[in-house]
Amino acid sequence: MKPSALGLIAAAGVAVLIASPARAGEIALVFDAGLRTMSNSPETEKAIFGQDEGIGFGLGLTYDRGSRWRFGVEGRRIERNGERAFAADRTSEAFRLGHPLTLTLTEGLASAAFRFGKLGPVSPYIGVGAGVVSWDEESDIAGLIESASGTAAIFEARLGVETQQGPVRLGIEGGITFARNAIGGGGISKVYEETDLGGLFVVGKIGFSRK
Amino acid sequence: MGKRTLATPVLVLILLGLVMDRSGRSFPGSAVRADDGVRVIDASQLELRAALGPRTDHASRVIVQFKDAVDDRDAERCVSDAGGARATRSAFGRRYVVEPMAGLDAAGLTGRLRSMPEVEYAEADGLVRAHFAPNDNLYALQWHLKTIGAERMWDIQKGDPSVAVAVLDTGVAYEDFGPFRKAPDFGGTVFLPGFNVFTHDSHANDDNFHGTHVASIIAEAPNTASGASGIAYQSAIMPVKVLDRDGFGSNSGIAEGIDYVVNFRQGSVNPVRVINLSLGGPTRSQVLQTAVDRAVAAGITVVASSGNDNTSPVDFPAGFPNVIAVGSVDARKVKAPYSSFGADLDLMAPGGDNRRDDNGDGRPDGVLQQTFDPASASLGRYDNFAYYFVVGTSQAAPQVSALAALLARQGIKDPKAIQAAMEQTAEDLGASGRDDQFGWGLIRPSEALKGLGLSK
Repeated sequence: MKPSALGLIAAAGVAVLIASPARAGEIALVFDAGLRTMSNSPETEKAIFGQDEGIGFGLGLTYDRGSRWRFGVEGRRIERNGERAFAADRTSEAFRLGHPLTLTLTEGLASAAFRFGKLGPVSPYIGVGAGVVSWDEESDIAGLIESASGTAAIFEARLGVETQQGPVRLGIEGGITFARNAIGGGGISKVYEETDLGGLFVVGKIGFSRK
Repeated sequence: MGKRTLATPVLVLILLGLVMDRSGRSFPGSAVRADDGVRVIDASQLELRAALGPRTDHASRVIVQFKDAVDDRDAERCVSDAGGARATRSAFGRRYVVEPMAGLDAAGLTGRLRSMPEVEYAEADGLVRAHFAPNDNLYALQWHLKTIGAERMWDIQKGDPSVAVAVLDTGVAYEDFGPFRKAPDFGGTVFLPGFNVFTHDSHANDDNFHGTHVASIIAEAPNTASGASGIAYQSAIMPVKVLDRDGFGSNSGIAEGIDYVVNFRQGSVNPVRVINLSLGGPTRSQVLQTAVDRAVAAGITVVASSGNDNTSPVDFPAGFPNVIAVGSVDARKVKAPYSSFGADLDLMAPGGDNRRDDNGDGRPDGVLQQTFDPASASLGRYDNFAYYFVVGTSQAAPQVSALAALLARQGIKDPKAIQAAMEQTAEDLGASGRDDQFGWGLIRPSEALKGLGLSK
């Protein structure tokens, strides 16, 4: 899913929001931004990205059915910048070699969440999601570009809290994503025998609805 | 050991004679000049000097390493009690090279020393020699650089003076000192303070030709009128003279040279990341293995030539497990006929074959670099510089050393990782995977320098 696709979701979300009848379940357009790790492949992450955290941006549409259930579709783009590296074997230290490497993850998910109701000023919730992640790796080696890409199924578990003030919804959410057997066919991930993309994340959210 | 070493030059002379007879060529003097100013070395002159010239019989000496708790006075008493006539102490530890008194041979002296509780180990001092092979014709220009893809390699990395290669050899033409002159293509090369194990001073000047040729393969400056270039030409060189004017040395001398390199500091840093040993001998030496172990433990990658006898196993120090043993291929990427092989062989690099012209330039294939005329050198002149073709595993090893220096500069700090980077990216030759004829295959510098991506 490319950035233009995210724009399409945003446009569609705004259109749905405007066109939806007021008596239907609540529909919201939600933006998120935050830190996304690759903690499912920690040695690969450390070798390529060092201490640089991944920043991800996403947006989606949610539909609240009653006061407990929420369903959504969302797209997300995460870009991480690192360096190519070398490690002799899975027990060895990795050395970073200075050739810039950019990893771009584009995710599309359908999600469902259960809301526990008000707990003071906030509403906690838990949720799950499933979809597809597309990854694209690009290295610049002295002017020549080397790239690799692939897709894999992605699953997500999350929990968060939110508060709503009129049409504006604010929240913070943490969780973990899994994309099994997405990588590991070559490169550092093969050396360290790590095959999974995804990992822990924490994001801030802001949503707009026709309250 | 001594029998094998003395037999080799004779064998080389016979083979060389056969080649010259069949080709109908002759080479007056020890070097000839082609129309383009490129010269070839008539190795028969050098081998003859090596075979007939006066030299120390290293095998009659014994290396003894005393335990740490033993002081010099006790060590000297032990040497005397064991029958040592003369002993020379290492500058880098309680290690002595001992000559036996009359009537006692090296084996007897070794046995007496080993029986003493103060002694950690004792062994006969083995002979090593430079691994150059004869070449008797003109060779194509620097085909070896094309074979290893040097142009793309230089796009990625050219080296840096902060990373140095120690060349333990016959010395290097790196300074104007007495009769010695700095080679013209070393004008911009950074040299670290050298060491001469024969004179125990810092003047590691080349009086043979071999070390200068080897150092030029690593770091000869490019873009000179003749166009010859080294591989890691922005790297620094540390010249260490451990071989004499005939290209011979001893295990004790090599160990002394390695110890100098390991103990060297510039500020608080040792910039030497690679030791090149284009030399070897048939003797497994504990003193040499221990010195190599110290170097590798200090983060220095040690590279050695496999030997030019087309025998298995490879020579020592190439045969040690933590030394990268390098054999030689010709321009077809076929094992050179002289290249020694075996279970300890790790990698291959172009070393040439004087009987072939596989790049079709009308000249037999050899490795072309600057050095000086060995015939003039034998007369005490060390300023007759030109570009010479030389073949041998001596010429292959420094290509691997240069790549190791480039990898160190690129960011790989561990000798084990440097070796793995070269092995895992080598072009597989011969039987699939590692084999005893080619090791892991021919180095591919640009692939090694690329490193690994996330998943590719």
